[in-house]
Formats: sequence, C-alpha cells, structure tokens
Amino acid sequence: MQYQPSDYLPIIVQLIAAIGFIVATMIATHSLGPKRNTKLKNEVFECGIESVGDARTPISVKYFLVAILFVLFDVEVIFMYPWAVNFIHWVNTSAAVAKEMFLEMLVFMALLLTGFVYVIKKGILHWEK
Amino acid sequence: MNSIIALSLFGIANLFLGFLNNRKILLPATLAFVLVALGLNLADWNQEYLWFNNMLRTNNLSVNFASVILVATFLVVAVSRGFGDDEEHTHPAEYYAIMLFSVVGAIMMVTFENLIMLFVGLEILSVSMYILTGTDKRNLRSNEAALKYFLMGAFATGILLFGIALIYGATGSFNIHGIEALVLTAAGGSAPALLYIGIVMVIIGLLFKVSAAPFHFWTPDVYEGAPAIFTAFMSTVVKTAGFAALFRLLGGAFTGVYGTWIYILYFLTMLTLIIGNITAVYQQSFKRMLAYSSISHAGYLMLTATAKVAHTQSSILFYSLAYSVATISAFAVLMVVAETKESNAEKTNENFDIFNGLAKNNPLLAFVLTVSMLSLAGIPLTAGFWGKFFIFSDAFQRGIVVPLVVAVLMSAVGIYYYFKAIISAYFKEGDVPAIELKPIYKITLIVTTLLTIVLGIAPDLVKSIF
Amino acid sequence: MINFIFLFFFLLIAISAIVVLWSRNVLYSAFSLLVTFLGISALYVMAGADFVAVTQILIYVGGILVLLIFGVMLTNKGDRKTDDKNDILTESRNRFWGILVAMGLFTLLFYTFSGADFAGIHRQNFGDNEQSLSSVKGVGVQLMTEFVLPFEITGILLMVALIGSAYLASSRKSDD
Repeated sequence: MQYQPSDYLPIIVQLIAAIGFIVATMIATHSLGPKRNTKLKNEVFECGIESVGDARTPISVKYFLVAILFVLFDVEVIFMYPWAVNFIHWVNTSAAVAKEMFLEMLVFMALLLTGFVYVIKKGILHWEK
Repeated sequence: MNSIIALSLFGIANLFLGFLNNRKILLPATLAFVLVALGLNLADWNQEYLWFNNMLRTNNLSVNFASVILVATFLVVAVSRGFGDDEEHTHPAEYYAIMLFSVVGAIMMVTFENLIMLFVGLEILSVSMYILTGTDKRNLRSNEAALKYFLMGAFATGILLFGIALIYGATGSFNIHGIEALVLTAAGGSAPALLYIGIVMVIIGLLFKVSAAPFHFWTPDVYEGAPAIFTAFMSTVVKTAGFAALFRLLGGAFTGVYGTWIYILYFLTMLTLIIGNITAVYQQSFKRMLAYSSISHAGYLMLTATAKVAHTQSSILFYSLAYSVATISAFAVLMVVAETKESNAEKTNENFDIFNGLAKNNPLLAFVLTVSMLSLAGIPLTAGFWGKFFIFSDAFQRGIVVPLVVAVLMSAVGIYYYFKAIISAYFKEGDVPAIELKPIYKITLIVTTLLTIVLGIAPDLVKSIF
Repeated sequence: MINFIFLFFFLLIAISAIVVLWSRNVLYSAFSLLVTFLGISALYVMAGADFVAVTQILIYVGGILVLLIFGVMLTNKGDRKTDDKNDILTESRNRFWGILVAMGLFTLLFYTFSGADFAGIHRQNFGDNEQSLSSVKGVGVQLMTEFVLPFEITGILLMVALIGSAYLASSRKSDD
C-alpha cells in the first residue's frame, strides 16, 4: 500500500494554517494599529545615522560560491537518504550485503570529499584572503 | 571499462599534483595517465563484456572509438605544453584533471548500454566543456562563450532527457538492446506516438552536441571564445563521442522505426553541409572558419551515420581519426603563431592574415598547416581524402543520391576556404619571426603530419583494424 | 475531490509559470518560480513519487532558488539615481518567437500524451513488487544494486561541477 495523496492532508492543513496566520496578522496589524506617518518615521533607520548610497551594492562573489557548494552537497545528501532508509534492512539480511552497500556509499562520499578537500586546500573557503 | 575507473583516479591524482607547486611534472604525468588508460582500453580487445548489470558494454567497436578519443586526447595534451609559465593565470592541474574527467564521460558515451549511462556520460562531458570554455577568466569572449554554451547545452540536455523519459514511457526499458527489441515489435503494429517523439528528441539532443544544423548556432561563438587548445579538444573528442553515441542509437536501438527519422536526418545532413561550408567561405577569422568547418564535417559524418551499410562503423572511425589529427595540428600551428605574435606585442586576431609569410622563416609550421588543410579539404594522398571517399562510397552503396550529390559539391566548396590558409602561408607578404619550438611540440606536429600522410597513402593500415 | 486538488495545483503551476515568463522584473520571476516548484512537487506527490517530491523541494526550492536570488543580489546597476525604482528588468525578450516555439512544443506534447496508453506500459523493469509505504525504499534498493554505476559516476559529475565552480567563481587574487 503506497502513500495516497490524502495522507498529505495534514501538510496541506498546516500550510493553510501558516499562510492564514500570516495573512490574518498582517491584515490585523494594518487595520488595528494607529498610523502616524512622518518623514522621520519613514526613514530606513529611524534613529541611526542617515543612510547613504544604494542598498544594492554588489556583494562578494564568495557568498555565491558558498551557495553553489551548498547546492552540490545538498544533492549528495539527497542521495544518502534512500540509502540510509534501507541500511538497517541490509544489516539484518547479512553482514556481507551491508558491507558492500557501505562500501558503495563510501566510494560516492569519497569522490565528493576529494572535491571538498581540494576546495579547502585551495583556500576558497578562506574568508579574509 | 577499466580505463574509466583509471581515468577517474588519474583525474583526482592530477588535481592533487597541482599542490606540489611544480608545473613541470604535470605534462608528463598526464601524458603517462592517458597512455595507461589507452593500454587498459586496448586490453579489452576481442572480448565482449557487459559491466555492472548491463550498464556498459565493451566490444571491439567501443574499444576502437575509445582509442580514437584517447589518441586525440593524448595529442591535445601534448600540444598544450603545460599551459606556459604564467603561474598566476593558468592552472594546468585543474585543466588536465577536468580534461581527464571529460574523457571518462566521452568513453561512457561510447560504451553505454543503458540510456542513463548515455545521459550521465554526456553530462560529465558537457559540464567539463562548459568549464574549459570559460577558463580564460580575463577574456570577456571566453566568459560569454562559456555562458552561451552552458545555457544552450543545458537546454539540449533537457530535451535529450525528455526524450529518454518518453522512450522509457513507451517501452519500459532503458537498456538499448531491450529498446531495440521493443521498437522492432512496435514498428510492425501500432507504436505509440510517445516512442516516435522520444526518439526524435534524443536525436535532437545528440545532434546539438555534435553541432549539426539547425542546432549549430552556438558553435562559432564558443569555438572562437574558448582558448584554442580547448577548442581543439572540443572539436575532436566531443564530436567523436557524440557520433559514436548517435551511431550506436541509430544503427542499433532505433533501427526498427527507420522510416521515422531517416528523412529528417537526410534533410538535416544537407542543411548542415550547406550551412557549414557556405558560411565558412565568408569567415575572416581562422578559428571561426574551423568552427564552420567542424559543422560541415558533422554533416559528412551524419551522411555515413544515416547510411546503414555493413562497414559504416569503420568509415565513421576512420573519418573521426583523420579529422581529429588534422584539426589538432591546425590548432597547434594557430596557437604557436598567435602566441609568438602576442609576445611581440602585436594585436592578434586569429584571422587568416596571421599566417602571412609563415613559410619564409618557419617551413615546418607552414608544411604542417598545409598538410592539415589538405587533409580537411579531402585532397588525395592525405587521410582526409580516404575519409571522405569511404563515406561517399557508403552513401553510394546505400543509394542516398541527393545528400551525396550535395556532399560532393560542398566538399568542392570546402577546398576554397581551406586553401586560403595555405595561400596566406606561402604567397602573401608578411612577417612571422622564426619560432623556436619545444621538442615535444615539434615531435607531436611531425607525428600528426606523418600520420595524416601515411593514412593517406595506406588507409588499410588502420581501416582493416576498425 | 482529488480531481479538484489536481486542478488547483495545475492552475497554480500554469499561472505562476506564466508570471515567470511575463514579468519583466527578475525578482518577481524568481519568486514566482518558487510557487511553480512547489506546485510541481505537489504533482509528484499525486503521482506517488514522494521521494522525488521531497527532492524537488530540498534541491530546487532550498538550493537552486537561493542561488538565483543570490545571482540577483550580485548584480548592480552602475549609474542609478537613489530615487529611481530599484527593479532589475530584463531587456531581452522575444515574444513572437517565444510564443511560437512554446505553442509548437505544447501542440506536439499534447498530441503525444493524449494518445499515450499509460496503463499498457511494460512494467518488467520496475523490479520486485515488494510494496512499501513510501517509494524511498524502492529507490534506495535500485540505486544500490541495479543502478550502482550511474550512482557512483554521478559522484564524479558532482566533483567536476565542484572543481569547476570553485575554479570559475573564485576571485583572481585568491587563486593560488
């Protein structure tokens, strides 16, 4: 028996509750609270120094690199999930099978770990450089 | 199969050799790695194996294709000369590592038995190529070429994957022999439209990778923008691997529904030949001319891939070898001449006039260029002539007259633009200082030239093996 | 009931995808893409592919989309007055050819799928019929037995992408 779409009803209910809460509170705060708009109150930093320049200054490419690395290792972790779900079953089957499966995953991890070691040795994650 | 594992490990080894801060050992190490892989590959000769639950198949055909790919890789690595001494801007360890990884992908495209392996191999090859195209980070054209190639290539891969999914939907199998059997039964009765659309989409995805018209628009820009050494790599290894995959699908898995794709491919063959050759005539840049010429060579190879006769595979192999060797020597000459001009603080544009007066001070380079151009044009006594001859005779045997006539006419057009380079080298006034060639460079150029001539005189030396 | 839910998600995907194409503001397109991805993962759930649905959310919504928005943050317009609107608008759009190609592709796929007999698909490749609650288990067994080579080779693909992105995106000074 597979999961049916109806089994996901709790998720949908939760989603609707979350979105509903946000929408409701936003409407409520907008209509309930008093509004006094002055120029000073609409400043970005009401009680700081006056803001200068553009909010959209280009950020360092290093953030982007970290994001790329995140996505790559995200994909790796996704591959581990179905393996991990089955692993206890393989262990219960026989030690030889479990060992083989463990080695297979180890090879996969080793390949990505090599890449990771390379990235670290290259000093790409070194922030101050 | 063992060569795939070995190349993956060698790629990693290369990556970490880069940390030794010794650029000198990378070139010999990579050459040795490629030779070992070639040896492992040849060890599979005359054996038919299926690997890893029918994922890969090694037989003589795959060994031959992989050998052509590895020989081309060896020659490209040899003319790369360790990427010079510019410590800050070139990183040979990464380049060589990615080249070795891309060869893993290329060999998988040759040996695949399962469409998933085709997809993963193609993806490894493509991703490596996107990176290698953009390696010249200071050059805007290189950046643009890499981005363009990436966007177009990702789209083409998507179409290929969609096609594989549709074929799976129609036949329930990824295995190409399984698909072949199901396609044969389906062809008799009522095959679902799913199957036909899937087949056409897979063919489109592969035709994009081998830059056949009308999927060729990326080729000139990418070939021009990428560093010349990687253009040489791209136009030889990717093309050979792409045609090997296309041949294995058209000649095997998709044969049952021959009628679906054969007329489309005839039409595209003629289109590719005409667009490639006619546009090449108008090019000022030598590199762009070679890009269009590679499109036109894709046309010739398509002609034989569609002509299904007994020895089609040996024609494709011979043509790929002849074309690869000639292309690599042409790019090698271009690279060394452009570099010399650059070091003399001249503005280089990689146009034809870069070769003006080359023969005066550099008779060897001019000769190498001449032989490679003659071979690409298909003049007798060069390997290129026999390559074209085998292809045309295959097409004639099969009786595909109209594309054959177009191909013959277009190869006549080809002679015109290839001779432009030779005329520049011998008859135009110009000043190229005598170029000091490194020994490995000289040896490689002599080997490629000799190979072209020997294969032109005695094609059976190789043809009988294939 | 299930048909209505399907229709709801179908409309969600179609509308948000159209917004992705139609909006000139890159950021609106990116956030609209988020809705598209979520809707697609809901369709995966309905197709019984719960593992793919979770993958879709984790990788596309959690990873790729963050990358896209990072990409938007990395851009900057050179000479912009402080009071201008802060939008990033695409300049390249080719409505006529775009619609033509999309319509052509739609017609083709619609024809293909409307004629497809999905019930009659050969099922010999689906392996054992061991029924489990979730498809994750089946995927794991297949990945580790029959498709182990593609799985390991994917590791190489990911490593190439890792090296390549580290090489291309690292700034010049920290190269060596």
